[in-house]
Amino acid sequence: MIRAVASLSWPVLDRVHFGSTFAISPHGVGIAFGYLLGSWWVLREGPKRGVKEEHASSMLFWALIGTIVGARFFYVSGHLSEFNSFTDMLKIYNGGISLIGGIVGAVAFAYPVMRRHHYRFLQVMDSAAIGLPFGIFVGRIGDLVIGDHLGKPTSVPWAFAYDGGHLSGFSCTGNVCTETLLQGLHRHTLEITPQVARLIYPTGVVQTGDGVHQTAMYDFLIAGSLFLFMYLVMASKPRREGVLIMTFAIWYGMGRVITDFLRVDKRWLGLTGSQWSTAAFAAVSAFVLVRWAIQSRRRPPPPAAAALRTAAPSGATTSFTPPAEPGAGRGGVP
Amino acid sequence: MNEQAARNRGRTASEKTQRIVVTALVVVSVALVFVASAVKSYLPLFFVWIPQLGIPVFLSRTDPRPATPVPSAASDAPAATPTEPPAPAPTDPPTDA
Repeated sequence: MIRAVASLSWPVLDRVHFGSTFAISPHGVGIAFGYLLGSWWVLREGPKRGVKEEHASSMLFWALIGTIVGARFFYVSGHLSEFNSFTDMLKIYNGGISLIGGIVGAVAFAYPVMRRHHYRFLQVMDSAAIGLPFGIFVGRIGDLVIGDHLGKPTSVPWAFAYDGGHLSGFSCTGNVCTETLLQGLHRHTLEITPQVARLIYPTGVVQTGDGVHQTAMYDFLIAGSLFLFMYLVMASKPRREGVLIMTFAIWYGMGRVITDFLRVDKRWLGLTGSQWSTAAFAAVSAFVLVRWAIQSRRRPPPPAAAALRTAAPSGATTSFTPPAEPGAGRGGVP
Repeated sequence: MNEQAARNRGRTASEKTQRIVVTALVVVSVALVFVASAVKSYLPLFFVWIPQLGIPVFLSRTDPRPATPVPSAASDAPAATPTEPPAPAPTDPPTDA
């Protein structure tokens, strides 16, 4: 009884079918909706940081293409053994994308546009620093609906218990769903029923639990709390260019590093691809922020900056960096 | 000076309201996930998108609007936008020609 009340569960919905040939994945709807609402934040924050709205729109368009390409490319690179042909790799509608790959692809495709309009990299990235966690916060709902990213078995009170429906990536018969993950010659098998979850390791060791870790929900909570932190705390007063996006990289990166240990996924030297990449981004960002903090303690602020700080109104919500007027040449990082 | 202080006070109050509403909408979004679990249905999960969509809708309506140019022959100066620093106040009020 206690377990029934404490654990999380709902029937999952893999696809919404329209007739016999057409279906929409709630996962895809979530991603599209997340990108749309995240973009709204970029268009709101960009002009405050000197990024013209039409230029931000142009960057968002190319970033959208980059997101699709990067998300699929990163997933295919990490799961090559799952694909039989090049055509299979292009079938993105069958599922299989990487969020970190999507972010990297978006930045890579938007970068030439930001350089063409003579914006600084950190100036544009800071404009996206609130939109990124918000987009993830919105997009993860799709994962929750389809029951994606189910992790290792556990009996914690917030364990996710299977409650019917077709789990994405699993083969389900009756109320038993099974997923097999091949890593080289090793085979992991995750078996989930409404009563119990079992993970059978290649060594034959069996880990059991009342349910599994719902790692997409952990990501949803991490992104939601990060969004609030960025909106309520970080954007509430002027900050040096780059601080916002590096805060995002550290918070979200460390969150992914921790929660990915609970996932059943392919690993290289003990870590998933997302853990390697987010750990690298978080480490670089932490190094730069610490370096800036040390530098600012050693050096007194220039008189102009000090005057600006005193003149800034208490209700200022964003850092105002004098915009590099597009077409007026490259602006240096202040 | 008093007018400026009053304007700042109004602006702060508006931002405070925005923060409270945004926080509340985030809390509602998270709560709906637990509602989905309580009623054993995925439908409340679709409703999470409503408070999430409400955040940009609410902020769009309550964000201070950028000043629009007044159709007047008196001034050719461009209106101040959030991307530009405010122009210094003229010493003499503009007069019609």
